[in-house]
Amino acid sequence: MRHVLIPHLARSLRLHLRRGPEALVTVFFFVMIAALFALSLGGGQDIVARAAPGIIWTAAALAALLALESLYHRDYDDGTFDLVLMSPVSVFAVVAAKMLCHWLLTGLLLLAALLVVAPMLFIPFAQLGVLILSLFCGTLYLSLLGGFGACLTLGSRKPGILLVLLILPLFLPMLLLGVLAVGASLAGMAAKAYVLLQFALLLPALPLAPYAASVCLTMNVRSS
Amino acid sequence: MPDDECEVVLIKTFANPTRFLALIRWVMPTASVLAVALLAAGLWLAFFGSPTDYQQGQTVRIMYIHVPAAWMALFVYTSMAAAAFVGLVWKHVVAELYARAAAPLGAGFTLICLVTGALWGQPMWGTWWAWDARMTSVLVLFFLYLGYIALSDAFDDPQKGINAGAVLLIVGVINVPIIKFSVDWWNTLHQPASVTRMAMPAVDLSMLWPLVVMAAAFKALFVALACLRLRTEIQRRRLAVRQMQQAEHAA
Repeated sequence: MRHVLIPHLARSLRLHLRRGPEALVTVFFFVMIAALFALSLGGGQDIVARAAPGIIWTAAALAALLALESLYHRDYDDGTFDLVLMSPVSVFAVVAAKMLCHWLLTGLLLLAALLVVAPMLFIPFAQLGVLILSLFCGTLYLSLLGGFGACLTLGSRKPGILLVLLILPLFLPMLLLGVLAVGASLAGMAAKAYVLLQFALLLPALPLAPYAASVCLTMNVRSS
Repeated sequence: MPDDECEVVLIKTFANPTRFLALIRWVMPTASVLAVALLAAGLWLAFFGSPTDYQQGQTVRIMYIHVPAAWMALFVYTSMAAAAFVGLVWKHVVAELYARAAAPLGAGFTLICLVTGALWGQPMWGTWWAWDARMTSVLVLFFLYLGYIALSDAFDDPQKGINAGAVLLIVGVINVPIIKFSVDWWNTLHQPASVTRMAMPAVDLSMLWPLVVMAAAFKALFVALACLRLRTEIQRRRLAVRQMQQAEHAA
């Protein structure tokens, strides 16, 4: 498993980074949505600070889903997945590598971008710890769900928009818990319970999502 | 080898659905007659045969549409997921087609539930919509229906759409309780008492009867319409096979 995962991860990362600034588009999108929300709310500190958890979570979800199509559907179009299925490597490991790659390219960069977004939304740096922990859970969950959605829509006519429509309802529980966690920490209350519940959602998805995604990938690629 | 495979496909396409079509031939008319009779009886009971509520007045009659629609919304989704599982595991052709046939009906019931809920909420709570836990869950269920319909239609090869849709349904049905739980929790913590739910008293028999009759009517209506749509799907698939065969002969 390990000697499948790491080369595939390296390959996906290399391919993506070779396309230049495309990897940064996600971060730019995230920051811009946050700025747009803050501006459209009038920019007042009280209202923006109150809306901050919701803004960050919505923006992160939209930004993370943006990168899915190029990561998965390009490999479908150029026949990489056909080769994967023909070779004896584990499809599970390949999909897991893709999901990890997606997280490194979106989740990790979004967490770094919080350093810019948090002051924009008047979030004190003291509360950044809970925000990062909770968003770590959320972005990883998005990478898992997103990978499942991407494999589900391989070979469909309009994968990009379809995938977003399928994933967002399934992402709702994580989003609500994340908003509760960040909201509680901003209000000076204990956020531990919500963060633990977020992990409780994340952990079963760690094996199940790559499994479901590998089933979809096999189904969609084989029959074409 | 290709001949064998072709034969297996033909057996699966024709043998089983043929028996099913024979079943439909008497189930559909029976269910249709039952649906019309029960709807007539239920509506009469709902409008004339039941008392007005001492608090809600006439608007309580919305319940006789709203509640059965909500029941159907959940029932249809569960049945679709169960059929999808059977279809994936045993390659049962009718089960595979069932989810596609039932999805628009389920989405319709969910929409009826949402719309009547809004119409009921306006006079009772003074608002068309609130982010109440139950309403939010039903709205998400509606999104899940729409997502399934969009996905199962998104492939040029219908079989791919059926397979992908089946996986989505199974993942979705695992998620429905989680969504319900999370929304419940979020709601109780986030905005307590924005909507004062009326404490549902034990329903009086005079109101229970129309409700039960309407629920049975909705179910019969669903069975009749689902049979009709299933028959269409089966015949559409047969037509496709027939056309493929003709093309093969011509070649």
